[in-house]
Amino acid sequence: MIQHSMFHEKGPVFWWTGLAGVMAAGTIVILFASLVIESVPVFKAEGISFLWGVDWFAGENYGALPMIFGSLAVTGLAVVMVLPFALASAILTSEFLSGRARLMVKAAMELLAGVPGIIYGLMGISLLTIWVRDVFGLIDGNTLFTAGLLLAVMILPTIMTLSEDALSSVPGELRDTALSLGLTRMETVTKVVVPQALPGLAGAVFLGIGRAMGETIAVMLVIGGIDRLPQPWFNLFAPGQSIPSKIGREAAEALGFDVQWSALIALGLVLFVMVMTLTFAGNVLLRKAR
Amino acid sequence: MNRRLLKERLSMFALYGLTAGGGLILAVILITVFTKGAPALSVSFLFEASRNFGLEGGIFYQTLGTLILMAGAALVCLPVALGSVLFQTEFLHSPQLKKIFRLLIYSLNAVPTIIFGLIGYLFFGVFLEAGVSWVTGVLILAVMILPTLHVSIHEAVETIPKHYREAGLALGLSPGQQMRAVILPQSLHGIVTGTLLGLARAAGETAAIMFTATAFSGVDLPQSWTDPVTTLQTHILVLAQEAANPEALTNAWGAGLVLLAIVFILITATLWIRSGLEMEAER
Amino acid sequence: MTQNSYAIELERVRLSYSGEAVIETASCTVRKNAVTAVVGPSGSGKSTLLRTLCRMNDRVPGFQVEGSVRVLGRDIHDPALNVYELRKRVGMVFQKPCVFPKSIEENVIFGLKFHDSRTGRDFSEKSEQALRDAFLWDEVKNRLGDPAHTLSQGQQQRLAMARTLAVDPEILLMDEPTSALDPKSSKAIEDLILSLKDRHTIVLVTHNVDQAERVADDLICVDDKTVCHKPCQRP
Repeated sequence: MIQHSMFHEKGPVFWWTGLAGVMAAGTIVILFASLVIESVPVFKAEGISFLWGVDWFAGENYGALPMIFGSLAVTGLAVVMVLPFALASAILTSEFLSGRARLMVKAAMELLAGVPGIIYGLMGISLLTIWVRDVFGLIDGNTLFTAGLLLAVMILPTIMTLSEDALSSVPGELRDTALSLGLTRMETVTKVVVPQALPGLAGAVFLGIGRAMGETIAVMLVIGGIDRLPQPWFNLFAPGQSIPSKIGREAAEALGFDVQWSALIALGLVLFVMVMTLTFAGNVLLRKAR
Repeated sequence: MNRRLLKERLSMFALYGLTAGGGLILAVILITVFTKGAPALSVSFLFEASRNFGLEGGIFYQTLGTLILMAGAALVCLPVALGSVLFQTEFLHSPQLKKIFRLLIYSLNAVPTIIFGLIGYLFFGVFLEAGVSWVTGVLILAVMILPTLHVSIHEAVETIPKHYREAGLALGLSPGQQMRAVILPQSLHGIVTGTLLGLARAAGETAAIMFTATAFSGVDLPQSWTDPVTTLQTHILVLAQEAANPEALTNAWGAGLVLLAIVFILITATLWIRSGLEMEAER
Repeated sequence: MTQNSYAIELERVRLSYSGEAVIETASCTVRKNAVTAVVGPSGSGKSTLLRTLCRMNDRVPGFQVEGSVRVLGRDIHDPALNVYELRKRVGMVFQKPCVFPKSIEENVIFGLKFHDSRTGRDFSEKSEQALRDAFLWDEVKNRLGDPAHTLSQGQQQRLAMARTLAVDPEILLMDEPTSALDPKSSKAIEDLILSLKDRHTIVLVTHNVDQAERVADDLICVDDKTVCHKPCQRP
């Protein structure tokens, strides 16, 4: 009854919260709608082949494939490189550390997850590119591989801490039971805890991939900035371009209503769809895990 | 049996090795920022304007710019986040609507920040005619940190014990009075931690503001609504691209250290408040 | 070597969490091939005592054991002891039935397959035997591939027993195994306990004195942080 009358009493509080609620919930809708509407001009100019065109010359033609490929390549690389470290540290923290040490590790990870992308970018451009160049004997250290490596380090705290949450939410009774049957601690982890936490772990990884894919500034500084597919395509020690990096590099010069601007927005739309798919899948998996 | 124990030992070894490797990499990053940034730091570096495109002088206006943008974003965001949480918890009753609302907010959290820059510029820069300015930056960052604040405040409001709410209702408080007397005081920690995390996120963001709010040189304090600012993040960005020049790099690391300090102070404060609450809850 | 007739011997054992004693002093013995019930008020440390016997508390922060705990003739805190071998010989069944999210058959052989890892071995015979021993075979023989959580609580507890029995432990520790079950399922577990004592030594923690009297040969009483034998209630 009381709740009911609260809803109908449209005082200033109702209008303030209602307006805020509509704004908060509407933002994502407006974002998506704007991306779609603003990318119409480039699809009119290029047709759907914008998505698999391989050339991008501002003012002439626009093809998104090198950027899509670059985004997938650096994100894929980052995930492959980060997984062993993230999972090992998550398992160690959740299964083998005492409560106090665990909380300290978690706090440290939360702190590290907040390190701004530009710091990683600075690190990348002044140290990592040179290191990659020297170690792999390249002419230029700005490559897809470098960007992937940098991203791997960046998403380590996020994936680690989400994976740790997934592991430590596995009920203690399962561990006790496995141990009481004479399994070793490691067998308990690999045969009982990890399988049980699998949806949660997958969710953590998906969310991490989503974050990595959207990272702009650090990637932009080390990826090389060449809008071409590498030759051959699997040569990741070649310079490339990711979607956010492309937008970041060209947005300032294209601000406005040109086809170039529309092409950048269309790239944003592609990125948006890819990241949302990953995030949605990740959240479904995480919810399933609970 | 011995094989089993051997396997156990080896896998533990691998576990420790990989963890140590990961920890080492992260430690190296922090140490690098401190060792490379510390030599640049001095009173004059912190309180002087930059000269000669950042190669000389300090980072005073850059620091101010970062603080203006993050504080402005939090100020704009807070009433909206608080309002949207209260709308969700106090006025939305259908579970489906709540679920959809939650989904929309969570999706917003996943949007790559560069997209906030793109669309934010279109709305605030072009439609509101704010152009490339600090106001555009504040508004874009406010939208960007909205989910951070929302989630944190929402969690605090949701965990208010039912008997507090019922006590308020039983006293016949109106919704507005109920919010002032019960809900806001009881969720204050969520509001504070959410705002701190939001500030940290805004301070660390570069992509969304680099082509919408900042100019790279010749800017001190904004004199009007439509002036651009200069920030630590974009300052580092410009200097980093001159990585071949050692002076540029030294100043970039110095600015990086200051930026990292701002972010770490904010996050540490959040963790500190949260751990204090946990201790209280244990008692 | 003299044949020791005691499966478990405790001598001036003190159990503590971060210095605070849960059990101040415990000196008692458990006879082989008998059912020994551990009774006492809730929160008196019965479970802690039981878990100590197969070193399940190793990982609990701040937990400490003083005195001598000898299980099957060996000091269980001997650094040379293989704790996994110990837990294989000393099985434990917990208060709440806990099955793995796998099929019934996979649950039964879950522990067994780690202790006998020869590839290509057929465990079906062993799993049938364990299920028969746990009085569960007739109820599940046609649905061994079904997920274990489709069983009732009482069946799940017997499945947990079968899983422990499949490892073939000499001692069975049971921590209030019937407290989460209805009377009928409890009865089934009690019958099971009685049938198992020919081949196993059983230590049963229970807060139910009637149950202790129904099934136990010996009683151990935990109260006021001390552990002592009670005169046998049954001849």
